[in-house]
Amino acid sequence: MTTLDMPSAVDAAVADQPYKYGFVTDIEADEAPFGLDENIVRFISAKKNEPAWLLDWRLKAFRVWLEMTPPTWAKLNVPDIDFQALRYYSAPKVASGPKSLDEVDPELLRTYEKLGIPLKEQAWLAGVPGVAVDAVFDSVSVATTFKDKLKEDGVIFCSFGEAVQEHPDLVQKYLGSVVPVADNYYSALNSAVFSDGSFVFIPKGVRCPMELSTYFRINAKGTGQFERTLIIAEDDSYVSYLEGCTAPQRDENQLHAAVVELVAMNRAQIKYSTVQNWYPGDANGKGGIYNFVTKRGACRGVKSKISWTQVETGSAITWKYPSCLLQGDESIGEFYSVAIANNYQQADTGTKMIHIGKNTRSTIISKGISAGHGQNTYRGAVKILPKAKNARNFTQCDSLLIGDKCGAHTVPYIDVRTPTATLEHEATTSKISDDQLFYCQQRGLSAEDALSLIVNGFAKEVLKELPMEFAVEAQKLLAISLEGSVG
Amino acid sequence: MSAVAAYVAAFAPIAGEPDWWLAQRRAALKTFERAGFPSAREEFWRLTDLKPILTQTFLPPHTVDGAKAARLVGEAAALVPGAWRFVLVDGGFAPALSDLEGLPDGITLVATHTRPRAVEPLTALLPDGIAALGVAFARDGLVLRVSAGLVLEKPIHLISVQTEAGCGTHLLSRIDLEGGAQANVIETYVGGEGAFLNGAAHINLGMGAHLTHGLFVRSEATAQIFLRVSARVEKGARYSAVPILLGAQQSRVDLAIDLAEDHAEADVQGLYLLNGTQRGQLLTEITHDGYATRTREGVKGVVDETAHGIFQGKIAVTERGQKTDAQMQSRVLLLSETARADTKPELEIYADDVKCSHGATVGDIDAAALFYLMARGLTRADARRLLLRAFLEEVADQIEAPCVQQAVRTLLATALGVSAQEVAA
Repeated sequence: MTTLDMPSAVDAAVADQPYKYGFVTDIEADEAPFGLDENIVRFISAKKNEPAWLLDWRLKAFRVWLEMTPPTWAKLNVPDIDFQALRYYSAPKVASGPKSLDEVDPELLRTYEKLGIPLKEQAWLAGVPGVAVDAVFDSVSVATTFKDKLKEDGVIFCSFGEAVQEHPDLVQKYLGSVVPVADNYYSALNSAVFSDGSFVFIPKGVRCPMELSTYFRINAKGTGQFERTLIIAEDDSYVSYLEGCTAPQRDENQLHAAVVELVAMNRAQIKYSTVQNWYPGDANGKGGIYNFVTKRGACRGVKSKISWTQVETGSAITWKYPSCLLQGDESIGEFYSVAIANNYQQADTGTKMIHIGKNTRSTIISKGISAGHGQNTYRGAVKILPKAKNARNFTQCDSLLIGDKCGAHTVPYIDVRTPTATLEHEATTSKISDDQLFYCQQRGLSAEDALSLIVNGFAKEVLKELPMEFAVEAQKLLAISLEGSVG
Repeated sequence: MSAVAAYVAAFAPIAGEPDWWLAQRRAALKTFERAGFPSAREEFWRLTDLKPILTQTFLPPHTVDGAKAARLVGEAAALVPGAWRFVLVDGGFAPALSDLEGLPDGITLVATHTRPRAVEPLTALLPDGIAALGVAFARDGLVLRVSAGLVLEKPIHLISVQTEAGCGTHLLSRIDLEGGAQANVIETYVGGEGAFLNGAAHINLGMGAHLTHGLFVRSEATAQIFLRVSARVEKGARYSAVPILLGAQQSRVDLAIDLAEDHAEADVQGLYLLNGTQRGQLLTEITHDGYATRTREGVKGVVDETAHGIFQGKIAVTERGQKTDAQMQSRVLLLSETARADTKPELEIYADDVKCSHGATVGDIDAAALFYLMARGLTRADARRLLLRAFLEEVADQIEAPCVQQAVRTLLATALGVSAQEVAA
């Protein structure tokens, strides 16, 4: 049995792995003891000063979780996780919640600067204006920028804990309405012990004036991160939301089990982009984050649209299927994904498109890249129910293999129950051709640059869906993640 | 009494069987008792309707209805004219209805009960309770061996008839083609009112051999037909499977093809044409374990009324499967509001220098094509029928062996209500 980051474990050894976010920030933390029982759930709830209904909801989720077993259907080799060897709450210690950025621990701010996320609004104004950031450090949200500016438009963008205090009716109405507590093992666990996350509410008719962004970081040893994100877009609204993740470099495996719920009402659009770069473990497969995430969006209104874009380069294990429930007539679901599995990484990721309303449409573009000993699986489902007249789906999943020790797998499920549906699915698997590499190298590119160029070309259809600043970052990330896989 | 217990109670020795074989069957019964029936929670049984199998005990048949058998065999035989005919009635070889005149030297074609050793590979591998049940209760089947280099000019037509209603028939067969041999084997399943048929076959193709293997399910609308084939394809050999699911309440054809050596090839051309409350399920798993192996797989489905068509196809490439070239296509037409299609084209790849692709479509008949034909004076019904036939005959076009291709065309014509003259034209 593998324990997740036992306290006795050694400190992060700096290997020759090009993971540049592998530092640890030395901050005094307010932590829960190791282990998980009802008291821990109560402890977390009390720490967050939560209303009774939320504590009840957590306890119910905890009891459901106790009855469940971890899913085994994914093509993943997951070691037994000792859930009692984890710390379920870790917060940087501050006297009270930070009123402004000046009160935030300067050590913490320096961490974010190292990560390339300058929290200071001035920095944002000087650099890339128009992105509001909510930063989540271990279990709690530490700062949200641009909150006042957003408030002018009626947009609520705050930490989940704050939303529970200030907008409890909204939270109560939507929490668990897209991903039910008992949806799966990890969603139940998250529901019991989630500590923070982001909350977004876009009122009717508002086009969110800037990109919203959350930055997640696991810092403390022996902790799991369980965040919860809830985004509600009312009629005729629009929001683009970005999510980035990093973690320190450690020899142990750490657990991340998040739940993300999106709700789009009539004609609302939500664009959700993720650049997931949790620590993937070293070249020998030691350490790394176990990433078990449940992400689902409900297109509740007519002509609503939810678009998922993900660049998955990190984590030792990725188990993640951002999905769309296309309930409203003429609603649209999109899924664009690039997933890399290098060294000993394992990724089992894909999407589910459930067509319920009439004239619903979905597009799935998945690009999987396997290198080293990596195992990469696309697992997707397209379900078209009898009432989804004229539903349309297009799926394309391509896999690229680099080296002969890796694996690329495609497991699509297609279930169609109306003759008016039109569904197309294509998949290809191939290796990087020697001709392409030779062509680039002959023109003076190094083997690594040639590989990076070809991989970026392969992933282009997905990368172009990312907001610009992130697209540049993602391209670099792809190159870094594949370093050492040719030549 | 539970279904499992009822089967255990019904187990009996068969007159004349060797002791070691009885022991094998007993061992399989034990395995069945332990494993029970598969459950819908298992990935490859998820979409199978297990209820009829779980709620009813299909005991071995008692009496054979000779007149019915003769009539059904006559009808089925017309499908493959000029074939050597091997007939199984209610799970037992029927020499009187068979026609094995003029078999050349170098070919062995006998009933399994005379040579149970041949089906031992099937007793060694029991992937689930239904396979174990099959071994425990099997009385007969076909054993074919074609010696090296022999090319059979006439096809072999295995006709399996079930005459007694509500019974269970279990078949074990074995086909061996030695190096360079070539044969066309067609299996046709008919009869089976309220009955269960559980067939398993093991095939071995030697270097450069080529087998075209038709599996035609035409059983009665209340039958449950489960067929399983495991094929091992050696160097440069080729296995062409043609599963055609037309009859039965539920048909389930499960093909596991192992391209074990270099340059081995698999070719699967399948179709299902379902209506009423039928359920047809085609499962294929093709493993590329040799260098430069090749797969061409095309499956077409037409589903009407409240029927349910299922295709679960998997292409697996092991570390040794470099230079694999595999293509899998699945196309389904849904003709009614309540019809349902499930498709799962899966790739599992552990070698890097491969070309693998799969495509799948599900939809209705193309409205533009329908309009085109109607604009030229065809009624909607005729236009639809013509387009359906064109859609399905593409499968027949891909079949190389002329006798199998012709049989598929005849089957389709009958199913779509087209006259024989039209087929000839």
